[in-house]
Amino acid sequence: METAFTKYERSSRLRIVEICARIPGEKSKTFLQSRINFPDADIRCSVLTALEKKEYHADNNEDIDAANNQLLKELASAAWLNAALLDIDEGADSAPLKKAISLDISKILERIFDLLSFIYPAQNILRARDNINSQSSNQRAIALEIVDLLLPRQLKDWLIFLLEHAEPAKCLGALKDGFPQKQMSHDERLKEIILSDHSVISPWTQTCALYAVGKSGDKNLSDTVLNALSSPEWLIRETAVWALHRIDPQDFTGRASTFKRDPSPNVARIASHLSDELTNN
Amino acid sequence: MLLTIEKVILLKTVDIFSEVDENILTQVASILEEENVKEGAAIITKDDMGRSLYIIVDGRVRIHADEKTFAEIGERELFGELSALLPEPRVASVTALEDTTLLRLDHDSLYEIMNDNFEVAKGIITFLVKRCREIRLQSI
Repeated sequence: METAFTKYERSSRLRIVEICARIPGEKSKTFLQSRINFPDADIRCSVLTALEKKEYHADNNEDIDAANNQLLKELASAAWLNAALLDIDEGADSAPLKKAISLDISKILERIFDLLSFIYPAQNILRARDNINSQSSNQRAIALEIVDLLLPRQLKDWLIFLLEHAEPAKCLGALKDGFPQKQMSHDERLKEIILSDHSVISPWTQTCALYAVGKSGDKNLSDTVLNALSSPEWLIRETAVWALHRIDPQDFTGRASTFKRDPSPNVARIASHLSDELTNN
Repeated sequence: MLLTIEKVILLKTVDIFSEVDENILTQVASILEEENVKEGAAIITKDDMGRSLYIIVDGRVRIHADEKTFAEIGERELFGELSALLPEPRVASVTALEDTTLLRLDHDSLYEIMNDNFEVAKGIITFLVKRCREIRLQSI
């Protein structure tokens, strides 16, 4: 399992974690535990969910510190994503991106609850998690009461608006003292999202950011689009090829033969189609 | 030609797939076949063996048997789903009322995805249960 996890790419790693989650015993738990801070957010999410299902509890200082450190990183990521939501313009072109970022924030919240369940009484934390998304205001109030009783003051202050699914400005307001964020222009933020690794945002969010660039036709971001063409994710490459075709058709034509030889048939097919479209026009 | 991201955004609005994670929908989207049909063209013919479901990207279609119309449906709506789950002769014909773009998902691909992803299977079960309840309510 260890060898396969190191050797294979992202989707296989996700599969390995899913398999590990179903294998009973300490070995699989140790395998997962050593990946509590795995850099890829989607894989980390699966690891933490699997550990929660296995009723993992940090029972020594070293394990508690590891969970606490990861908790702080998740909160920093939540602050960053809320800042991004505020910087990205409203409008149809950015709507899928904003939705994707909100989805990343809800995944952070899931990871936070998993991590809290490793440190604090798991049953109560998981009850709070289940209640917080309830339609009933009573259930949500119970969830907040549990959090209020169990967590230290500072942690509660950072978390409270995230738990209430409050507006990004409120969430950022609560988090910014502990996790300061820079205000950026729409373009700067798009660039930052497209160039970032997958430790906070998913490849899906990066794809949505590239889609927003392509829709806007903003030439200022052509270098960023070119950078995305070398992504290992075919979905990102496909959208980057399309975005380049929209913002710089001449550059696209010059590179089209390379795009048509892309190892992903999806990327190659889109490149051929767009290339034919330009030739026919 | 639709990008994969555009297919995923569309799938997210279709009942069966609305609760499925975008990572999984990317896999679904990558095997969907895009079809462009002209106004008046037959998409499905009654009694032919059916093995595919269709999602309307844009345009409008008529579901009918000879001259009798059962329904007219449009953008983001689905038809042929039962044959994709259990191949059988089609019980109605479907004809394009205007130039229409469709996404087609075949039986084998659908089962492959369901086999790999419980979320997709769950979406389909939910959809079928809702459909059964509607039919039962209509018959009361």
